[in-house]
Amino acid sequence: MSNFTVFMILLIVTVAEVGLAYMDIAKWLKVTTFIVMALYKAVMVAYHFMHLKFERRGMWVIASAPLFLGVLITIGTYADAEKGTDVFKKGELKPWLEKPAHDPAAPAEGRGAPEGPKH
Amino acid sequence: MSQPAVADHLLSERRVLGAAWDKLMMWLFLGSDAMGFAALLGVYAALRFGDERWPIPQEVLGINFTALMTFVLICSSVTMVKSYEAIQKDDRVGCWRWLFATFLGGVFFLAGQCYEYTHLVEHGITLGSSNFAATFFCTTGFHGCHVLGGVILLGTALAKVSAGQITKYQSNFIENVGLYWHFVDLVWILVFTFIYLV
Repeated sequence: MSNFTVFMILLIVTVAEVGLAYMDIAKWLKVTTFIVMALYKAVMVAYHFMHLKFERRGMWVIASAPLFLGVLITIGTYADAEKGTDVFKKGELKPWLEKPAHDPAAPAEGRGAPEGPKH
Repeated sequence: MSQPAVADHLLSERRVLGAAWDKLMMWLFLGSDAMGFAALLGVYAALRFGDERWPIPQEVLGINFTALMTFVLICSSVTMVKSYEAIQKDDRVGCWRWLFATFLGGVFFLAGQCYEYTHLVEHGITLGSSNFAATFFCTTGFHGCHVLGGVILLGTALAKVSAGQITKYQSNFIENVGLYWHFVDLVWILVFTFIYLV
């Protein structure tokens, strides 16, 4: 594949991406298409411009390791983000702000006491 | 006088994974550098996923202008390839010209980013205004620093080619500069898609 062909592919996919950004389609379909397009372009640059096609497979491992680890770190932080939001939404950040209960056997009572009805 | 030349020769002859030592080191550096970007993009995804009030990027950022910047960066990648091809044929003038075109592309990108940042700050979008702004400025700023580093590296390469220090026997220097520059382009493709378009 000549440099010009790679350039044209990169150009066309970029224009398609910008067009897609303004289109009103299902979110999951849009995001999936974007990820596929971006990875395709990234692979084109690495394979042709960075001459990975001339390198041994061992070099491919070095080149693709960050992608694998990047997916891993994204999945890892994803779980945290979801949990963090849920806590935030429900307004249950108190356990961090409150002092720990004096009686370790009954922590729930210590936390529930201020909210309970007072007589 | 001959001592460094011999050492240099031995260094470039040493091969791991079928690649010269300096090229392998450049790949390893790029691999570790990519992890920095992976972390930034991962954090971006996590923060965005957990935030219902996240703005739609197209409404805040100028997509069309950034698309032009992306186009220029892709073009500068192509001129970098042409520069390496020229020096492999020992065409030093051609190499210098293509390198200079790449250099100009990088400078244009930096200028575009300065313009973009100024525009955003004027509209009250600063590093501390929201999670969106913070991740946006950190990620694109980190990439911008890489472009700045690349432009300086290209300037060094231009000076070396001008001084006649680069012939087809030292073309590995141009190749390594090219590897770095293509990496910057590759990362921008991902940053552009995930931060501006998704």
